[in-house]
Amino acid sequence: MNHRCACLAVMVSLVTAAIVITDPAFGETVYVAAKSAQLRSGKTSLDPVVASLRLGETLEVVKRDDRWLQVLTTKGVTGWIYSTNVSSSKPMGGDNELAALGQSVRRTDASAVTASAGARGLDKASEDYAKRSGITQQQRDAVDRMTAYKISDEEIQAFLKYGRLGEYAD
Amino acid sequence: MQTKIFHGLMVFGLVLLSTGSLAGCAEIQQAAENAARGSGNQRLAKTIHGGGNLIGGLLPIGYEEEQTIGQAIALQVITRYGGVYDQPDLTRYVNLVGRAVALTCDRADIEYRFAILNHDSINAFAAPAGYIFVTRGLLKTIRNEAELATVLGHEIGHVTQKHILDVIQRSKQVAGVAEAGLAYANKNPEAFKNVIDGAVKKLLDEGLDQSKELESDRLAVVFGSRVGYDPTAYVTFLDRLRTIKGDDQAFFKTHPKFSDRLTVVQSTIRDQGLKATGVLLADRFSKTSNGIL
Repeated sequence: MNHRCACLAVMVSLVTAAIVITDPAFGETVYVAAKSAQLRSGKTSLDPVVASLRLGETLEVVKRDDRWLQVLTTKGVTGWIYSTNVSSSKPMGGDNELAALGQSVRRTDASAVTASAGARGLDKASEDYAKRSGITQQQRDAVDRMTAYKISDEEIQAFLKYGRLGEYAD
Repeated sequence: MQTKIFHGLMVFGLVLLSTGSLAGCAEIQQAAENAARGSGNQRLAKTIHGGGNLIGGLLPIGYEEEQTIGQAIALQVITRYGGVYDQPDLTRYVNLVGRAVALTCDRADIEYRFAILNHDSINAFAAPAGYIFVTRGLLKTIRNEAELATVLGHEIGHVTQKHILDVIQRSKQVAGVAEAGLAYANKNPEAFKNVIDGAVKKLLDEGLDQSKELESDRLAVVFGSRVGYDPTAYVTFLDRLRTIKGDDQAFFKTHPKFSDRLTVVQSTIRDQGLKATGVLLADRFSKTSNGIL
């Protein structure tokens, strides 16, 4: 009896392995293409989140199932991710390598950049531009507010969920 | 004399190194410039400094500079289009739709910000670094969230493809700016003003190249579909716009013909197998916008 059970277990394992290995997606490398994405324990948006993934992270595909992919992260976590959150090519950054190099070439004069650039408010050059162009304080404040306007990733996820969009469509 | 020649050759070697391998270019350029200065050859030092600027001018615009340009163009858009329409709930809604689309666009790592312009015309604009605008008139024309999402997707497409930055690069050449980056913007604000004014003229008065508009039309349905919106909503919207605009010559000065746009959009939906999901979310759109516009 025990012998038969062991044989059966081996056969089941072999068949499972064959199914996994013959999945054309097995071993394929994909990248997180969303600004932030969730890795879930199952292939529905109701399944618990097992990891939060960042843009550009490398994932290895275990298998595909309709609009979900089972993947393995570089940290060894396995889970499911919604297909539109990944891409087969590495997503480009805000600065590609050439642009980043251009920035480094110009860095000798970067002292003229105010600390607020990229954080909040108009930076020095656009403030100067506003003055030279006679743009009112009201309009400068409007761009200032626009620059500072924040919406968290959680709020966007809640918005998607309420509208049954993205991975919440199922 | 011999020492000077030796220094000159050493500096020349460093310059060659800097052009041969762009990695660590700034450091090599700085070392070469310092060596030239140290040898008392101010002229050579100046040339190397200029060479660095020339290399900088040929390289793509970095994100830091892009933000400055985006802010400056945003100032002009807001000024020329009646200021920002101050409706916090509607602004938040437009930002949520826009950021939902931007979440999985082809350049998802930068911040996108959306504002409503207090203007009756039907229009939308994108400035570099993700400063995106829709007019009140445009929002009045839209019937559901899927239409809004794809319209914002079109504008996001201009940012992901850096369409306006291409114009800026050319505008710099016209303005005679050899160096790039914030350095020239701070040292020579008048040149920066000329560059921005040239780009604003192109964006608001002349319009981008038709190929860029059509590329953004394709991206509108691709980006919208990734979130799950029905891409055919954009077809419906363009069709409605065609009826409204008729033969408005001013509009066609800055936009391709509707027949071309519809052909491009429909072929993208077909070729890329984008699903007509039926997700339009008309209720959510009308609940937020009713009585405000």
